[in-house]
Amino acid sequence: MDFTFTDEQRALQQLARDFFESEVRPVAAEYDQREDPRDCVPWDIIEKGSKLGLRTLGTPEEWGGGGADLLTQALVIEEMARVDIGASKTFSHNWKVSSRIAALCSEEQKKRFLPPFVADHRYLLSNAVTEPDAGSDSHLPYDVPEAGPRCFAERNGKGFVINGMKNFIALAGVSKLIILWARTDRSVGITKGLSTFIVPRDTPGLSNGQFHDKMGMRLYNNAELIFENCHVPAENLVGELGQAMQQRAAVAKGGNIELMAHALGCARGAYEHALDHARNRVQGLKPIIEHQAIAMKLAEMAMEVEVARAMVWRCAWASEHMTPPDNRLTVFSKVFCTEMALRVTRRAVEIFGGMGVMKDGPAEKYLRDAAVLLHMDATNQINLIKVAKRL
Amino acid sequence: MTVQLVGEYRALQQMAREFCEQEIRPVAAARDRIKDPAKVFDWDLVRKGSALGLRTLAVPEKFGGPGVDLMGQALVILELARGDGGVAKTFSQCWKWTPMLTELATKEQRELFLPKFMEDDTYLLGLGGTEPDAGSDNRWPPDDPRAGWKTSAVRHGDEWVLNGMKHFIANGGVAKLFVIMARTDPTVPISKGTTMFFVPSDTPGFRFGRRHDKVGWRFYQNAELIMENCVIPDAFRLGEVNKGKTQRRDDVAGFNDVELVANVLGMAQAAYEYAIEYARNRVQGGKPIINHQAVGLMLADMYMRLEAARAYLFRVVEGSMEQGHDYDSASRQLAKVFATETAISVTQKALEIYGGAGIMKENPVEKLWRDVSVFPHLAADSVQILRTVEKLP
Repeated sequence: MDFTFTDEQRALQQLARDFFESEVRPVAAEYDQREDPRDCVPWDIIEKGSKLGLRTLGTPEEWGGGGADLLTQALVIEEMARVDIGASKTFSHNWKVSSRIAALCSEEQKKRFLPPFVADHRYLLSNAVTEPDAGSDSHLPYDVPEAGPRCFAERNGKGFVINGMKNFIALAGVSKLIILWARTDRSVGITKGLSTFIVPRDTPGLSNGQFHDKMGMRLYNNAELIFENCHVPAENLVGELGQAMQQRAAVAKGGNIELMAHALGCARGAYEHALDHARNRVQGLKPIIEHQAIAMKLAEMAMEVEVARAMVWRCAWASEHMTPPDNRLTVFSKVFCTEMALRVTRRAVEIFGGMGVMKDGPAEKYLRDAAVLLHMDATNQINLIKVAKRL
Repeated sequence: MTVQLVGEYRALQQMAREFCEQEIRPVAAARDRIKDPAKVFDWDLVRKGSALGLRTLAVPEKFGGPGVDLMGQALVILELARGDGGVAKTFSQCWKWTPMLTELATKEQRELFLPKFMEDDTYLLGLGGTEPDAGSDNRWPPDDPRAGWKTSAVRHGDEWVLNGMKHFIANGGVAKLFVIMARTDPTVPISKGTTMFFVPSDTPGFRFGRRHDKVGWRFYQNAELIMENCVIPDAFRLGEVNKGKTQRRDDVAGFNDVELVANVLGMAQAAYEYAIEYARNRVQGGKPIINHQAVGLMLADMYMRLEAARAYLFRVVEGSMEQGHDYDSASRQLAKVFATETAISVTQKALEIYGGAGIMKENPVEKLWRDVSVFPHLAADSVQILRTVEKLP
């Protein structure tokens, strides 16, 4: 493993750092504290960042994106998430979904959907799987006809009519294109009866339900999608009928480096604030970092962040150099990094003392943001149960 | 150890439980979500609780109060905090400073302030210690004049002039009477140069500054207290000059520890109850998720930790009631540290059991998780631990 970075990787890292320091840090807390989740979408940041290439960094080069590899993506995400995890995920979610479109769609579909996405600085993408009664069932997967997504796409002449609803869907309140997982056969489990469709936002019959009001990661939009007799042409079916689970497995083989890198960045951001505070806050007539109780906490936080970074980079390296990739590594790293982020952000709150729980201090937001990571890309419990089968 | 809930204790517990179910729970979530921290507070709830005696619960019978003892107080806090820890603390903060009015105050002070406290159903109490540069230093003071609160009180004949600023002060913005810790001799450490004063909130020169916006426990108000040439008669001085740190002020032994332990465990209990109900009803993998080992193990772990922490709480209650201030204080002080860790662990597991729904404000567990997150700095856990080291058996 060689982690000597190229000039291009360093430049992108610097670009992300500069943009998030100058444009996101001054406004992130204010966005976070807005009451209505509809008002928390940072459109100004999205547009400015998009012009720098942050919205399309992970989109393949041949379609006009940045074509950044996973290690580069991890470097950039760490810089963004250390300032605001929600704004960061709002960019990187598009890398993931556009890469899926590029990997799974036909040439004709890619030509229809990717150029408009790349060209429009306000064009965001969603990937809709979860439903109120289909959470862990889609991940396990629980492969019986009664379980999993219920949202149904029924054959209708040459196209499909979709009915049903999705919840907790990332960027669903603001995205212009949705990759939808819908049931096409109710008589079988999801490994055979689930299909992938592409549904543009302006399709009649598609609307938003509520915008979810989350405890943390508030700049990252989540909303419900409601499909009522929503007609989608056959040309919008991705690949073969009934192949959604297999398609997902094919594109997810690198694991969720995006998520781990967010946990890493979030923890690092909290750690940096805590270190700065501990060097400046005087109690007992000396900076509190000179008290063993505080010094040890900071050393432990730094250690955890370093371990997490090593895991993220190793996963990124392995996804491109190991064949076949060891997909246990990515699960271990997802679980470790998300739990690490919660431990480190909790410590940061403690180091800030009373100021740690105040909204005008920086610490409490990192803790709320970190807590959101635990359930993402399946709960850590589900991840561990799945990986146990591959030990 | 004999912890029996007999007669009066049961009635108290029942009263608090009903108040929690009928009055606190229906409004707590909506209150928590109000953006302006000052508007989270609900005077209506305070008045209703006052009518039941919750505000004046600790006033001894000889002064016309119910004189509920430490055990009764712990039971009431456990129940109220099940509904909202901030509401519970708003009331118990008054119990905390009641001994100032009933035991430490002079007869004249008591006759001036106690009737108001008893009769006015919005009369809340507070104490101002913390300042921006004086946090842990007030609890574990370096023996040095430079450390600790800076708010000063200077004597002019029969009056004192107070100047300075306190922040993070509990019941700040809403209490009508504060005890202010002020420096009366800046040349010596706070242990030798502090005097306490009663300061009614309508005293000229006294005002509330910012209301603090916290991550959790938002019903409970915290604010800045600002004193600018605030003139107080010497008759409002509480205790002797320069003895503010050394004279006994919490005459209910163990209260400070028991109060916080019961509060955080009440919230953790609520998180456990919501989690087990959710786990029994949420079906994934073809069965209620409680029947999956991963979730079953988490719930058993939550219950085990709650039971252990509750047993610890009642041991501290009993020890404090039997031995008073002589009760082994390492074990007493560490109870809060243990209970906080318990509650953080329990509420985090509740969050995880709810999956994606856990972080949504429409569900109850994220609030409990945030509320509990406020606890490590209260009474400063790390200072508590360090202070017990020399008392370890």
